[in-house]
Amino acid sequence: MNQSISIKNAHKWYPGGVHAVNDMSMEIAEGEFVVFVGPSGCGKTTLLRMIAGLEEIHGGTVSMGGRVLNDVPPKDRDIAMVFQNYALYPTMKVYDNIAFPLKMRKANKDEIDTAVRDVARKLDLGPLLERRPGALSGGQRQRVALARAMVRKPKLFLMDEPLSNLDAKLRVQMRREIVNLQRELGVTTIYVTHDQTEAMTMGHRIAVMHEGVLQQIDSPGAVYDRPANSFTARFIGSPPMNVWPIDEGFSCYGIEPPEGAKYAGIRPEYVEIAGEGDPGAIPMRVRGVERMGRETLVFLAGEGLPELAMAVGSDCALQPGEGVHVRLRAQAVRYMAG
Amino acid sequence: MKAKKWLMLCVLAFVAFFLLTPLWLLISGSLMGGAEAAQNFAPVLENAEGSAIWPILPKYPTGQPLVQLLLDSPEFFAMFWNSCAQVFPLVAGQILIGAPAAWAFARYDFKFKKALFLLYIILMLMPFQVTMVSSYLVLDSMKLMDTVWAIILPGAASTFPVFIMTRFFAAIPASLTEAAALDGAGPFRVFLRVGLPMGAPGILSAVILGFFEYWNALEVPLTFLKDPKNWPLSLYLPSISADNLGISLMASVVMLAPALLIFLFGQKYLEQGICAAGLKD
Repeated sequence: MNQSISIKNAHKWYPGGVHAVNDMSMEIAEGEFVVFVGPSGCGKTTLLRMIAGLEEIHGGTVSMGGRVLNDVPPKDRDIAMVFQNYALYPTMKVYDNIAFPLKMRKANKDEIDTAVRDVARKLDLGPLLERRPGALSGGQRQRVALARAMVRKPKLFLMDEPLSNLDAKLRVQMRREIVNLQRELGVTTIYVTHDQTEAMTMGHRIAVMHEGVLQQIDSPGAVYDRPANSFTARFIGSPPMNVWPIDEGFSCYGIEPPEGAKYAGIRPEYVEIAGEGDPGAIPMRVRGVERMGRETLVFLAGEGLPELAMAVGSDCALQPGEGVHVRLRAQAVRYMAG
Repeated sequence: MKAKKWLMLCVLAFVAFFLLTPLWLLISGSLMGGAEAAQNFAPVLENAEGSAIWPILPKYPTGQPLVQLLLDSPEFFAMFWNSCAQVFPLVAGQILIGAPAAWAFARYDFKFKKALFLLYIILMLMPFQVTMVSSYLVLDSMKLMDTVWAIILPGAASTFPVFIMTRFFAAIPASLTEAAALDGAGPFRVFLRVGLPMGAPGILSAVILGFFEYWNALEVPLTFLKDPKNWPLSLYLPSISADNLGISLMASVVMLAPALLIFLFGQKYLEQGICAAGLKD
């Protein structure tokens, strides 16, 4: 059966009139890895839970392989989910945790045993099968949660910030493992995160959300390079894109915005140090310097101009308070209608 | 710091001494022969001159009361059996009825849930004396008076275990039941496979508290059971005459034993249950 997901004009209201998901529509192809990203309260987890069947859908439809799921109970959707807190059954051993979805589907004992040991081998859980979740480290618990999701070969994986409780080093490692497993299994996957690095590195496509509304869904490169609106431009990237409303005198940089553009923006790496007499050079003052190791972020302010972030090499010697001329690379300036 | 620790130890030892003394005297008294008991307690029991003496250890320890109780008191066994036949099914019934009810209160949203739970709490707070007459009338009209069902049925439908178990079930993280639902479990299997094992401490504390309440009950059997042959052990003790003091004390020890064993086994759960119910002691 086709594993593609189709969300059409989905709505969700919470008590008190909170419109958590507002007219959300998207198509997710079979085998695709899509990352939902956005700030807290943007509706990404709510939409994920609507797909899982854990939240009622108040408007629109969610379908999988052409079958509308709105009224299908979670147990019949053939969806596996990895929760933020892993949601392992503390009273069961690791073996029984992994075997649980198969037992619920009344698989026979030999089948269960083969499947559990198979997936445990794949995730290096072999020696841990007889332990209880309480005796495992965060990384091991995460692996068990993944194993439980993978063991029955579902049509769709849902992952709700599964790495947020791990330390930075383990997060990088698990990130790679999840991507490799997804590519290997080819199961359609939806991954929720507020971490930009995860969003940029893991998915085939990123869906950026804000206040329940889908802002943009595209490949990580496209979202970074051609943000659809000022929210996406400011949200994706660290440091974020420099964005100004057009009416704040953007034309003083010597670039004329096209008709209908309300915002203009440029990534900090396209702001360059220029000589005083160079064409398009803008006089500014250094307000702060952050040395990140590989690069240096310089925050600039000019008279009557909005603040500008500039990313330069680690050898930059600029100091706060110093005057400097900068130039914007014209072809890197992006215009946004909203 | 050390002085504070010692002071605390002394205070606790002092309190423990007062708490343990009756238990010790009960056990030492149960090993006292009939003649010795009569002599020691004559001033109390027979208005003799002087004061009663309760020795720390009996002068002539004997197993005679135990032998007499076990071999020569058929009514004791009948009542012990009555206690078991009433209390065990009652507690089992409390769990069978109470656990699903508590699960529903803890995990589902339904109309009038708050009002219904408030009603449960009100019923829980009502002392037996308040519901005694109505219970009597209902049991009488159902022709259940003077049968074990007069004890078991009202007890099994008690609201207190529901209240305790609700607290425990509500504390189970939602993600666990959601994970089970996504793993293919229907509502009943979620309750069975996740709710019951995760709520086991709550169920056990309800069992233990229920056991204590009904094992030691006096008013309920006295009100609903007219025929002494249906009486539980808790009514046996007051019925022993003063000349059988040794047997009476031994019967107290034997009656205490199951409760003590259950307490030692389930102390951890009992404490959790008391905390969950918000009771002081």
